[in-house]
Amino acid sequence: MSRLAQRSGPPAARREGEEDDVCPVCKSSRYLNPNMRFLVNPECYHRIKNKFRKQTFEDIQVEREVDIRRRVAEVFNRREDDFNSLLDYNNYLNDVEDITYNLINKIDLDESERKLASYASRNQQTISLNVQKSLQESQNREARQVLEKEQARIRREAARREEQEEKRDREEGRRDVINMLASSDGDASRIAREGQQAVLKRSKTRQAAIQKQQQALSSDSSNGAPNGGFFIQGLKTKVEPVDEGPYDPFQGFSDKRKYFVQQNRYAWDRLDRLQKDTNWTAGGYDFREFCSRTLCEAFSGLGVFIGEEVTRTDPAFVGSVATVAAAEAGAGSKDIMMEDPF
Amino acid sequence: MTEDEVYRASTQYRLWSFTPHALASLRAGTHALAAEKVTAARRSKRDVVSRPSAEGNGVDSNGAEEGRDASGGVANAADEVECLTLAEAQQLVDFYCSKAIELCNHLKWPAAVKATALQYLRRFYLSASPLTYPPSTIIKPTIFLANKTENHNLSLDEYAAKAKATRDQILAPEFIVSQGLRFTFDVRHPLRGLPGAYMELLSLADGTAEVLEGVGKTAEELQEELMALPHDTKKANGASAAEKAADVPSLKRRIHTAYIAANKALETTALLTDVYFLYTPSQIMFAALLLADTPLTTFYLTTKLPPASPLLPRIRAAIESCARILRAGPHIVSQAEASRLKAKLERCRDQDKLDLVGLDRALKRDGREEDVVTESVAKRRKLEREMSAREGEELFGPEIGRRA
Repeated sequence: MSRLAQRSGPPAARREGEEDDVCPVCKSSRYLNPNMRFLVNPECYHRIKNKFRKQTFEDIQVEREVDIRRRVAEVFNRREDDFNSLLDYNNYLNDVEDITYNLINKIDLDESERKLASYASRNQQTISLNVQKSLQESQNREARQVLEKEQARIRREAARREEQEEKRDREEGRRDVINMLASSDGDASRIAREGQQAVLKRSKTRQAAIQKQQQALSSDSSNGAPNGGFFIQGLKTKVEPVDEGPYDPFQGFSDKRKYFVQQNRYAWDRLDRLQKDTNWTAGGYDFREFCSRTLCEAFSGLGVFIGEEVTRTDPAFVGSVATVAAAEAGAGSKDIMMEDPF
Repeated sequence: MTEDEVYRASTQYRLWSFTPHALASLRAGTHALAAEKVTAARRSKRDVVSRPSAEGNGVDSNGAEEGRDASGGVANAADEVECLTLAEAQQLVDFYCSKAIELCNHLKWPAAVKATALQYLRRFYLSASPLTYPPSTIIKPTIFLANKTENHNLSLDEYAAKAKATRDQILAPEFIVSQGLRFTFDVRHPLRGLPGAYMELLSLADGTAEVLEGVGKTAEELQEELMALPHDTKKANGASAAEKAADVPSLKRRIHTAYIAANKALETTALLTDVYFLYTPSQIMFAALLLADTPLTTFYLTTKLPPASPLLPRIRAAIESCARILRAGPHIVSQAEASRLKAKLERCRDQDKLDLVGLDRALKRDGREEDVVTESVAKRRKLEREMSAREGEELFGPEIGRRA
């Protein structure tokens, strides 16, 4: 048994009082075999039997509770932004905690298990969606960490390089001054001052370049970093957009005609003649346009019965006529200034 | 959008379609108002004239004219109210409509321009009375307006020369007419749809027509039915009534004859009657075809709707009642009667609207003559010109030396 345990992985970090651990089956203890590992069965929390897992906590009850919590959290993985208000979210957390507590303390075990299972089966989609979300978030977090590390490395390197360059510049400047002093017969103090100034100038330009680089780096990070760790409270539950069906660019408008089907050719010799006439066709005139218009005109209003439909006295028209007439009737009227009929 | 929806969206449907009763009351109302105004103006003038004459002074040139009028009118007090009656006014409008057709024919204009001009005239005289705006002064501007809206584009000068009128006479009433038309210049003519019906009939005769769903017949069946159609028995053409159109060419000839006849009706009769106000263009067109060849048109209508359609009898009824109006035709008074009406109109005209050209000028250019600049205006303009020149120079501030 202990040998099996040994094979399953490297030894864990030592806990206090590990030497007292004794396997209840084979009675072997750590005292005799310090490399021996105790594994826990996540089903019964005996430290033996066939299924084993590395024990993290000393207290086996804690181990069990962690497992239960993990299992519940996998199912009840609603996030705060799924809720209308914080109160709702807190209520939800409270309910989940009730179930968890019951499971841990074996109160109404069946009932709690049933709740858990039914919730899991009913909300499969949301659960997997939230799993994906949290996965995405952790990936983003990792990516950000990697990016930050990379930036820190670049910064460190730049600092080292800068230090080296500065050193080299100082050396070169000193050498230049010595050379100048050796080769020319000018004022020694002036040459020394010039040399110093040259070194100063070079270091300044370098610093400016470094600053620029750093600015670029920091702006990169502010753009590229995902906005983790920043909450927007009071998000509404997302309303799934209703299915609008296939996109209709004309919004229900149809060019279907009721009283005719347009033909490609009509047995009208005049139309045939004109279609062959270059005077007409050269400009790209399409005779189907003529046909479609004249046919539409031929039947526009065929099923409209003015006597039945226009029984209402059009108030706009009556009103405007009244104004026209009033303007005409008024003594010294300015007819053209009559009110606009519309 | 079906054809009916297209038509319901038009201004012709929304603003210019009436029931016969509404149309009559509209005309009566317009006439009553105009007549009342003329009568009232004349009465007040008589009061004004009679009072100073009693005092024996205050007779200016205007008063003298009115005094003469009044002295002539004392004897016939009844003459005071002798305006054109509603019927007479309408007769006069109809007469001038026929004159407008003559003018358009004389100018050899397309039928579309003629039809639009006529419709403008008829629409205008729904809300205006001949008492206020005599048709003689209105028809030429209206025809020119139609010339423009129908894109015929004869220039004003050419038109003025041909119509024997001055530029001002043509342009002055244009705004009034437009206002009377409620600025709706689109007219849906049955004439435009007629070629469509013609070419569909030809295709039916050819047996190449595409048949609508729901009619339940093939093109060949329809062709056979068309061949078997009897000739119009009402027409007093005994020879053709007996024979039957046996072959396609004679069938096409028959369709062509109907087309020509319908076209003629639409170019004349339909323009001079009220059908545009009472029926839709499609119904008018079918009515014209019905008059030209009843069996053919009745058959054609059945190819447009399923036989069981409840719309079919209603459409047929509308077309037939329209055809009755077209068959009765317009009643155009004789030249002599028209002269009498014109003379009568001259006596009862609205005195405020005698000089439309002057009124128009007064409104448009503060009463000034065109191209004539008064002294004060010239002075003001000169000052403005100098001011703007100065401002232009100082666009970038005064000269540097001057500032110091």
